[in-house]
Amino acid sequence: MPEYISVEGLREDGRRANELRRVEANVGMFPHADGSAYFQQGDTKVVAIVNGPKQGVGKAGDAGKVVCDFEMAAFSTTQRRKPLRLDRKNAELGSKIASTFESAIMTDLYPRSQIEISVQVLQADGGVLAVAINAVTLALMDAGVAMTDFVCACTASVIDGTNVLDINHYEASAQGPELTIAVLPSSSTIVMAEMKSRVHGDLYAGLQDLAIVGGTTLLPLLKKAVHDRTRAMLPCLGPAA
Amino acid sequence: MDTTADDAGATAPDATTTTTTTTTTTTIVERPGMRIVCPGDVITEDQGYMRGHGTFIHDGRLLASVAGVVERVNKVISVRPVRTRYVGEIGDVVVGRIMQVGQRRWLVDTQSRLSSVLKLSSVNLPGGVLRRKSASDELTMRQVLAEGDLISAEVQAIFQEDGTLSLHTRSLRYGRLGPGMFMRVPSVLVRRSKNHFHTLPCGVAVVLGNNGYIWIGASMEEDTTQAREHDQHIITEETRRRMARVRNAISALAHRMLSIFDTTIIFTYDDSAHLEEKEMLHPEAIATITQRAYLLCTDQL
Amino acid sequence: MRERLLTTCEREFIHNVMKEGGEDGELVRLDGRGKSEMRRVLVTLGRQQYGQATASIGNTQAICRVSCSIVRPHEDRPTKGFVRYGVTLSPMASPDYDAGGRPSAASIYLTRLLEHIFREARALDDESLCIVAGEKVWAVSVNVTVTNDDGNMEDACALAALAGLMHFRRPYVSIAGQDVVVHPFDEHEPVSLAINHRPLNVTTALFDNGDLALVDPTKIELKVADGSISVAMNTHGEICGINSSEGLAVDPEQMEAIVAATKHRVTHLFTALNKAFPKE
Repeated sequence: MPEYISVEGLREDGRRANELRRVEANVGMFPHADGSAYFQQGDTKVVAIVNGPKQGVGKAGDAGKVVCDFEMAAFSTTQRRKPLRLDRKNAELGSKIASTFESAIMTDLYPRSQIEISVQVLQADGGVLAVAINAVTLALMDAGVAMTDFVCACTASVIDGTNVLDINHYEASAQGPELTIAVLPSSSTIVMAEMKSRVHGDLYAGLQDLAIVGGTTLLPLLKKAVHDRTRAMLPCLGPAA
Repeated sequence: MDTTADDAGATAPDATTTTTTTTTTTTIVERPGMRIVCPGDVITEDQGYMRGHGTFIHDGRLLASVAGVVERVNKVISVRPVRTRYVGEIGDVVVGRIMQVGQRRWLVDTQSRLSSVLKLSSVNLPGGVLRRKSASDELTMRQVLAEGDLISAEVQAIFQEDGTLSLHTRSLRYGRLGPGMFMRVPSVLVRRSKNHFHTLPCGVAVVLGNNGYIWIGASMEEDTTQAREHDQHIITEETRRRMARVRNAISALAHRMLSIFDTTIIFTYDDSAHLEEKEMLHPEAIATITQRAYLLCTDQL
Repeated sequence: MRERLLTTCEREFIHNVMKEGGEDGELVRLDGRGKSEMRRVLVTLGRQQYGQATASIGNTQAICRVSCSIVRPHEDRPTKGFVRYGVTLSPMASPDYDAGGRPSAASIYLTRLLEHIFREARALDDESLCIVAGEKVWAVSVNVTVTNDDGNMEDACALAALAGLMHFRRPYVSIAGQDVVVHPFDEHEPVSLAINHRPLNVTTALFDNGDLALVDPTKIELKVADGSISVAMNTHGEICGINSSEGLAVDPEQMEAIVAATKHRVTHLFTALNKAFPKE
């Protein structure tokens, strides 16, 4: 019987129940794209690229559209995946990511335009949707797309009766519920909620709270990545005079 | 540029993070007086300001909507993002590529969100005003400007409904650009200045478009309506070498994300004298030849 | 075909109607319902064939057909059968939908919703579909077609799929030495599927940044809404899936309230489902 949480309260990777995985962020590594970012939580590694806002279809009165193309590299999972031409799971995740950002991007500023997001998962070790959303937030800011706030996402689950934060693939195989929540941290407004598997209705509130705390904890880390990138880019504005 | 978060101040009451620190590879120079903000940050709670680009109002407070530097001009506060698609202002000088010939207008690619428009009525036609009526059909319009032609123009107006830029070339200095080199750099590197048409000390002409499109030519056109005849002039090898050097100088500045204007181009051009043109793009070379420009842009000169 | 545009006056009227109502369900929607009321739900089962079920919620209607075949199992999962879900939006359902071509985003969303609710929450027992380990397993195909779209296709599809699965019978199989014998229905009583738990879906549309929530939205209400949340729950009170749609922006308290209220609202759907299965 696999043990997910030891008697001392440590998880398989040594974390406590309410600890996030180690985070690494790298903004703007693809200068030819309008915006790009790499985000890593534990061993889940995602690259996001943004192109736009650019000419889209639609009439002058329409607000901008957000589209997202989601792909998992063939080498991203433990077993090599053959990329299918129409992968429903990828289409669904792309669609969910685009929906999430419709609430945060000020699309009214971009009539007749389209913002194209491209997500590529390099390594999948649980919480892929959440990490992707965080990577896209950074990439959109690198592209100078107007947003009302950061979008921070995190997963939560129940394992052996304990609520745990930011689960990895091993913990996901415990077949407990996997809740992914994306929030606008300043107001804790939920802009995306997805839950897989089963959990008793009474336990939902606690899970949601934990996921939201995870998201708001990520905010300073994301902010620092954007702030540092902006500072490094300041010479492009020229001399202060 | 690598960033890994450090664990100080990153904990919330009910959750903790474990992260490691590594040193960054780029030295970041402090620019006192430049205030950096991220989306969602409060810029001011003061009611007395008007809001400009990159900001929005929420609950009576002015917040930033893009990551960038706060700018205040009189009573207008805006946030200038360090990376963004070109957003035109009236009076900007741009370099554009004709994409399509349409009904009494041309569609121009200016690396902005939407294609820009050059109306037939905003163009100086060779032969003066008399030709206007017969020029309004597509065939005759193509004789003036065809798909693929490069032009310099000024932003005349911005369409309110969707932000499309309307250009004009109603001065002799604007219009079709002759044979030369075309470069694309991030638009944020070309800031607004009094003059965008430069003849550098080495004799090479450059047009720096606010939109990040740059034209490098053998000489500056006096009257662009005669441009097609000038196409036949032969450019000497010496001039080509100089043009290549200018091009690589601009490329080096863009690579290092430094502001591109006449002084930085001249600094980089001069500092590359000891190298051959093609050696200028080696990574080690870029750092050396752009050093003076870098110091200038970070206010250390 | 192009979507019918919603005129500004219609949009305002629907919005005002919802605002003018009182606090607790006194408000009257276009069809006279309160905030938390669902439309009339009806489940009918096919008479000629097992595994056919029609579910309608108000005017929204979905038809499910379940079928099965014998296939080789996956090499790494030799004792597990397959259950495949697919939702198609018939052009009958609405002028917005075209026949054929690539699956639209909406049909992908609905198919994935069924996969979330049934497969990822393990409503069906894969191992019970095994015939000969490593060689032969049942592959069950659940095909739902939406024949009329008046909003809330999610709940109608889930209801039709569950009814179809409960109604479905597969042939009885006997193993004689090396041979597998599939007995036709007149030879041996067919077998129903092993269903671990029964989940159904409740969708709520949100307006005004989550301030207003309407259960079981109609198509026109969805056009005015910001976004919607679908919560699936089974008869044990377990949540079997949560999916949000675009434009969602809701407070955590409001979200918790919607999830908590699902327990009460899903009983309306189960009542209709149970009516179709009188013996159970």
